[in-house]
Amino acid sequence: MKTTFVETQNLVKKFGTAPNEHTVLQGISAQFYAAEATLLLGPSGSGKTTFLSILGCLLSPSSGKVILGDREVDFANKQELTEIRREALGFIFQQSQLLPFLTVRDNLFYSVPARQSAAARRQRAQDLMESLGIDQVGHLYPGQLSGGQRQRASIARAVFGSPHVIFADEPTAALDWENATRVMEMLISRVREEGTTLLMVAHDTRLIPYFDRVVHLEGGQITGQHTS
Amino acid sequence: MNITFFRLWLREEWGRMWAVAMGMLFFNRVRCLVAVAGVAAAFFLGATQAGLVVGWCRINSAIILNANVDVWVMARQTASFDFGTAIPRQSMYRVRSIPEVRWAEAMLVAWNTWQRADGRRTNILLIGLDDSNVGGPWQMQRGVLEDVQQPDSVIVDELYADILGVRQLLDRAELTGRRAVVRGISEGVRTFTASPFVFTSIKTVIAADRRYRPDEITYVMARGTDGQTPEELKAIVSQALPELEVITSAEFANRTIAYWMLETGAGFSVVLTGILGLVVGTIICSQTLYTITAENLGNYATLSAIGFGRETLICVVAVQSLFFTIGGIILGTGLYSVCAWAMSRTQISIQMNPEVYISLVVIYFITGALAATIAIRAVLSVDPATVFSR
Repeated sequence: MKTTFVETQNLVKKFGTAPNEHTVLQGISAQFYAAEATLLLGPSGSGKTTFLSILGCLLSPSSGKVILGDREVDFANKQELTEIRREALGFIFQQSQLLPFLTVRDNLFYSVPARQSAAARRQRAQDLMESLGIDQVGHLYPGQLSGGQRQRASIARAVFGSPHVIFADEPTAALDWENATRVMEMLISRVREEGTTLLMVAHDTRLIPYFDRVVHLEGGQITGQHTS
Repeated sequence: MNITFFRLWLREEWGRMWAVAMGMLFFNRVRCLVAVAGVAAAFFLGATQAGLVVGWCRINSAIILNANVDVWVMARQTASFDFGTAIPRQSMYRVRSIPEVRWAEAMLVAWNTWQRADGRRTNILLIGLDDSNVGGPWQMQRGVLEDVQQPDSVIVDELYADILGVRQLLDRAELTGRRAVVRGISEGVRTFTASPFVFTSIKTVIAADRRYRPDEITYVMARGTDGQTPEELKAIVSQALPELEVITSAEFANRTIAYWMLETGAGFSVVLTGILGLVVGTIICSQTLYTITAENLGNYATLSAIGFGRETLICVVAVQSLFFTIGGIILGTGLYSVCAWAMSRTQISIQMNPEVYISLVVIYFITGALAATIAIRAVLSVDPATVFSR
């Protein structure tokens, strides 16, 4: 029996005001399960990124509900949104978005509040970097890394705080296929080890085999889904 | 924000807030140093102007305050110490006759012309001292103050020795055709005008300046009996000499300062330059902070997306602003100290008192905070959702 961790109920998102109003999400209801890797596939403009932004508590829906765990997200409460992002969510962006003024190690170290001792966090950062093959570049700044290394560092940052859900927005889009497969293997392996829910947006159908479930989005609606 | 939350926030967020703030600043060290140097230069400018004002105020009031008397008696409408009007010497005896007066002596101040041994002339302000030399120089480099009472003797200050053509004791000059012998050289007696102070006896002033009759003086200085405040003595002496003006030393010092600083317009230009320094400092600080913030708006969006709260982001900018402000003040104070030290042996006096320095520091902290608010507004307007569209 799968446990639902992320759930949306009739999620609508409109941009602009009438008569120039544009509805991007048209009442999406979906469930995503704990420790499951889901791929959101769809053409440009289908609403994938908007959907991911709302699930990631970065954007408020026009109507509808988002339930994370057993808690309905209150999008009017900005402080609560920040706390949810800090405590429960991890993000991997298309361009890695590592902080350019911190070393790779510090990008991990300072990505979450100091709940544990500095030594424990340093060890965790070291272990993650080793598992992702970037321990040799931990002292370098993101600008000194290759695209693949940056994305692996980005994965390390996303899982560093042991979040319940990781949202990834086309993390392999800027990489060649060889690097993309390497990054995907590492990402999937990390989320499996950590027992994390993964929701990833991509265009590339070659990535389908890495995921437990694939959800197709088109015109702001779920047009189909299948499990592998 | 309740106290518990604040403590939690401090413990858990302080480290990463500090790392981000400093990382952002020092990622471009040259720009950071240039910004600190800019704020330092502005602080230095403001401090120097304030130091000039303080120095000038002290110069203008030095003789009055160093005389260490309670009240000064003078002709009505005397604008400043330098422009005294003749009053009868008898006034001094009338002051002495007041039971509440413990001590009183006269002073005669007159503009004169000093002719050097080589024939060159310069305007001076002759300060004629009475028997106990109160109102004379407070620090002697060479000679003794008492010698000023010898006939035709003068004391000049080392800062103006070159202008007056004096190299050593017993050098000679002329005061409107009358011989003057240098019997002493003082230290630190500056003048606000281009005319140096030259100390002598009242008798020598009268002998050198035919405009004054032998029984004329410009000021009576008086000290009260024990327990008498200057204000009380002022009231008593005013009652006894209603035709003259009686003011305390502090009032006379302030009147003289106000005359030179406000009525001549000299103070206005100094204050204007000081304000300019402040404005420049604010602009440099806010411009630099805003530039750094604007360049990092994308990174602020990322920080917000990964769970940095509003308070943390505000603190990042506030810490950066504090860094520029404190760094600028420390460096600016160092520059100011070097400048003040270098000027201490010249005729220009740059001085500081704790009240003015603290006021300057407070003003710079306020301007730093103002500069930070612009950057903070920019940070708070960042939408974390933009991280997915970049």
